[in-house]
Amino acid sequence: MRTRKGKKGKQSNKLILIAVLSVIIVLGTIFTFVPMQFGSTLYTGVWGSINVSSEVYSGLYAEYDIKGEASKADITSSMETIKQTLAEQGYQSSKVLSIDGKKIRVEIGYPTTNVNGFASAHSALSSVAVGAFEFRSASSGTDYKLVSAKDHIDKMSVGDYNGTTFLTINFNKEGEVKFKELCAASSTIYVYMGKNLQTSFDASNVQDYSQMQLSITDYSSAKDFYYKAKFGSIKVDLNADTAVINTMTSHLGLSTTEGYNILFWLLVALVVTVIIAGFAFIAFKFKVVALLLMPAFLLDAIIAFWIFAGVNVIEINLSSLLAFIVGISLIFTGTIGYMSRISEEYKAGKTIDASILAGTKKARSAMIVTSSILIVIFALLSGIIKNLVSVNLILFVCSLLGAITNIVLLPWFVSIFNKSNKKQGEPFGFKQITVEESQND
Amino acid sequence: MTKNKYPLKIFAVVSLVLIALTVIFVSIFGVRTSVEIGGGLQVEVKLTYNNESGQLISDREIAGDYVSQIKKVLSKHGASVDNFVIEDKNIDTYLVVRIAKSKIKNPDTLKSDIAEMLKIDVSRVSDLQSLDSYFSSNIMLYISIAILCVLVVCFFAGWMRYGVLSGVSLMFALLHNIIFSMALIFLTRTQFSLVSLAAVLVSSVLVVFGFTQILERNRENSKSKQYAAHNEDEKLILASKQCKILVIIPIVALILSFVMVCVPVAYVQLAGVSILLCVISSVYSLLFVTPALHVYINDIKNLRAKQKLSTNNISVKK
Repeated sequence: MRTRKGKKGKQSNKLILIAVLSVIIVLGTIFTFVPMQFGSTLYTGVWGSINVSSEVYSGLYAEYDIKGEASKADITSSMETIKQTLAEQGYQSSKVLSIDGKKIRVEIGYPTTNVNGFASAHSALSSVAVGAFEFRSASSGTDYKLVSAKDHIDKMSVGDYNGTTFLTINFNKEGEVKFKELCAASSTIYVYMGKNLQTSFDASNVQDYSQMQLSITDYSSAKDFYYKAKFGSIKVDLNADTAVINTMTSHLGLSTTEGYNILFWLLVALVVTVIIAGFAFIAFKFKVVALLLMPAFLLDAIIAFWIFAGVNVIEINLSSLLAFIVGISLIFTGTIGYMSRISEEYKAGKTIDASILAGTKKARSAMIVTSSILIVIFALLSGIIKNLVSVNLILFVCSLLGAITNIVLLPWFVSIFNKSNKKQGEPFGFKQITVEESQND
Repeated sequence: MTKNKYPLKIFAVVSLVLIALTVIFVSIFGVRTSVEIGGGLQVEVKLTYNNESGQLISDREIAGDYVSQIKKVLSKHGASVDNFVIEDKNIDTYLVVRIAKSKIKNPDTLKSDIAEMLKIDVSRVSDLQSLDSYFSSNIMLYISIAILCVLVVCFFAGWMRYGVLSGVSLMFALLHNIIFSMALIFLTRTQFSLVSLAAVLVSSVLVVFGFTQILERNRENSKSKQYAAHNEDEKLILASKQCKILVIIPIVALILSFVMVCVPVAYVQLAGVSILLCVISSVYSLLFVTPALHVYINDIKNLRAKQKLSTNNISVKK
């Protein structure tokens, strides 16, 4: 038998949970969507740090001359590396093309409300022609041994070990042999990026010739160095001296230095319309459920934007805005499916409490199965198809959050509301079939 | 005996004929791809020039007219505008027009035709430059691996939850939609771009979502005594009716595609057409082909079970 103290304890736990959730939603909304000025620092909100592509905003382009003759295979491989490295920096939908086999052209957009957006984009493009990443046995002259990233490095990664940030470089088999020869030839190894000496280290400290670790002051600098090293490992040599970096826009009536174009506003309008239409439909069919869904939906949006900003691979472009629309439709479909199940139980003659219990149980198993399949599929696709990471990650997050909303949050809000509900199915828009109606059927 | 509402033969013929036609069509005419996937050509038109008094004039404001006129010139040469950008280069501004075609018969004639149409000096129009994209066979390999992995996931998920035959149906739903969507896109000569690829993949996964919901309902109905007398065909029709809420997603996608087709930007219109074709394919796969196959497989399974139970050699007729 449940004691009075036990009942009161459960109720107070619920109130605490609701209070915590409300605080999270309010604070989350503010920090996610509202830009704020703190002295001379502008905080753009989490959503403001998400990159936009040059499809929907003005952008920057760069053209680099290819030094000497380069085969088509080397040019394609280099373009792929440039594209992937830019994608890792958040420029998912960068356009990389080669012009007449003599130039490589790169186009990227830059974040809108992020005051450093232009500078970051410009810096990213400048790094592309940073020059070959090499280890040399001498810092001057031309007679030196070297290990070059394009021929001898397998992979690179950045990590923290014992409080120090390292760039770890793994050599391939040939690279290991060359590196050993390099260390034997000179007591000091010089690290170059094009013409510029980056750092040097003592060769006698090297024990494992299959890999080496460069320690870097902090994680952010290590990441910068890593991106430059990736650009320095491409198969073709790009001429940094003749590189052209300038502004561009892919739409008419728009300045090359700022502005969202009509396509962006149209797609944002579509996203907003889908959200409003979804809530309107739910309000029309299930009345109070629309209100109950709102805090859950807001929480989803907050969590989604924090995830997108955190992973730094989402970029706002045509495909990702489509993914938003489909993802939001998935969430609404789940909600409507869930409430329809409860409605079916209620129409069959059960009380509202019994209908909610039975409907939730049935809807939950269906939701768990379909959401699990979708989550696994989108996670797989995000990992394998690098060109569609934005789309797949958005759909992965929407599937996950949709499952949490329709399996956990909405049923919880519905049951809390129902506890104080005295009007049976009315607030939910449910009607029980009368004896006459069932006879007519 | 109720009439079979899922005539597999008809759907199979339709799908196979369409796919066969696509294969023939593609082998003759090739696939139309965007510049980003298949490369193409580009021409630059300098928008800034010095007038007679040496003043720098910019035609930036009439760039829109230039684009429309260039489209007309290109259509005479059997090509079309894929996309364009307006870029700054030092103090000059250029209109860069990209064409999703790898060769033009008379490039010099094209250059002079553009200059004539725009009523500008031919020196302001650059020579045609060829563009190669980064899209390599590696990327196609990754996409194929991804599709294979997703097929395996669908099969195992369906098998674990609903049985091996449902796993096969689920896997088939995904595969059929991918192939059918691509066939529709190639057959209609719609430009295949990254957005089309995204649309194909997303619509295929939504087919999996929809069919899983139907299978889940079907499983529930099978357990219920209320529907014990129904055959597989009827149970599946009932489950499909109970899941009619799924129609929301194709409707949203349809509206989206119509809106995109109305946007006066070529690659957006083509993306809208791709989405429309993918929606048609997903509805056909989800509501017709896959249920038909599922019912057919179940019928065969039941027939074999009856044959095993039969104590004499006379074959049991349906």
